[in-house]
Amino acid sequence: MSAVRLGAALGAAAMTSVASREPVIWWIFGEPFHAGPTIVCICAVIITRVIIGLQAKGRAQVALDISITLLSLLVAILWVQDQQLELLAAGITGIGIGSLGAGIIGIAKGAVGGRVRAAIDAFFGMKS
Amino acid sequence: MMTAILGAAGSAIANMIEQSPATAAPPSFDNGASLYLFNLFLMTATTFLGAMLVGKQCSRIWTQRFWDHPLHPVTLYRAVTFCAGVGITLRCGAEAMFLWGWNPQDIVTSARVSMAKRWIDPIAIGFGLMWMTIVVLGEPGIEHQLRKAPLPVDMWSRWPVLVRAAAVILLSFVAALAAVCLR
Repeated sequence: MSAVRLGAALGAAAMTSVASREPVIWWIFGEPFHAGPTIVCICAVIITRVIIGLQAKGRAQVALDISITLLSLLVAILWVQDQQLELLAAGITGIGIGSLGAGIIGIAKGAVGGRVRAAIDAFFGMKS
Repeated sequence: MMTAILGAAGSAIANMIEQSPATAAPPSFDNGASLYLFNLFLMTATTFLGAMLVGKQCSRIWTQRFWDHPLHPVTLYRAVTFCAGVGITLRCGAEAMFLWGWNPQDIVTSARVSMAKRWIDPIAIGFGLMWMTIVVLGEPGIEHQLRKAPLPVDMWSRWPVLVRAAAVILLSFVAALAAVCLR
């Protein structure tokens, strides 16, 4: 119940004026970020990994699961910051990237691999 | 339907959102922050929990398809819970999208999620009516089967299965709190 009252106290201040209000900004390592969408994105990624991830059994799976969750969190948070997404878009981004899971590694590999190969070819092509 | 939702800029709801005074929560909450938090939290949590239930039932029906035929009582029970799960997931999912997407500064998104809710609700009702029909039609056979031993059901030893649901509920509450307080 105290959590509800806390929410009421903070939210009442937030509810009054939407147009003239500044969005809540927090700071990490000197970088500003929108607090609301980032927290929502984190929760969405963790919820999705909890639902999808824990189907497998065994000790090693737990470590793998946690690593994939951290990777998804990193990509999702950076995406939300880069695109400056609002609440709904941040939540859906979190769910989407969380459900990709280990697929994120394959996607990133495809996205970067071609360019790295072309850059190395150009480098060695120029030298010879 | 899709053109109506995608072309939301000139719709009645878009005009209304544009002209009415901007509120952080939809108007029917009367600027009540804790009510908005409660609804947001419950709708989000129930969407995820419903999705978990539907996925679990689907996989059970599929893996048991050679042993439990469509008119066996256990399949009817699974069909009932599946339809109920889909119904509540769709209903709460549409409502959650509406509550999360409410942004008086982004009128097109707010209008789109409001209108999408109206289209998704009848589909959810359809699944609701389906499970009620299965219950009504299968009642004599199912009740006859359920009266057979062993009785009673040992529910308390299944507690650990709810841990994942509790984690989802807790995270949904944190997300809703962040949405209301940290907008």
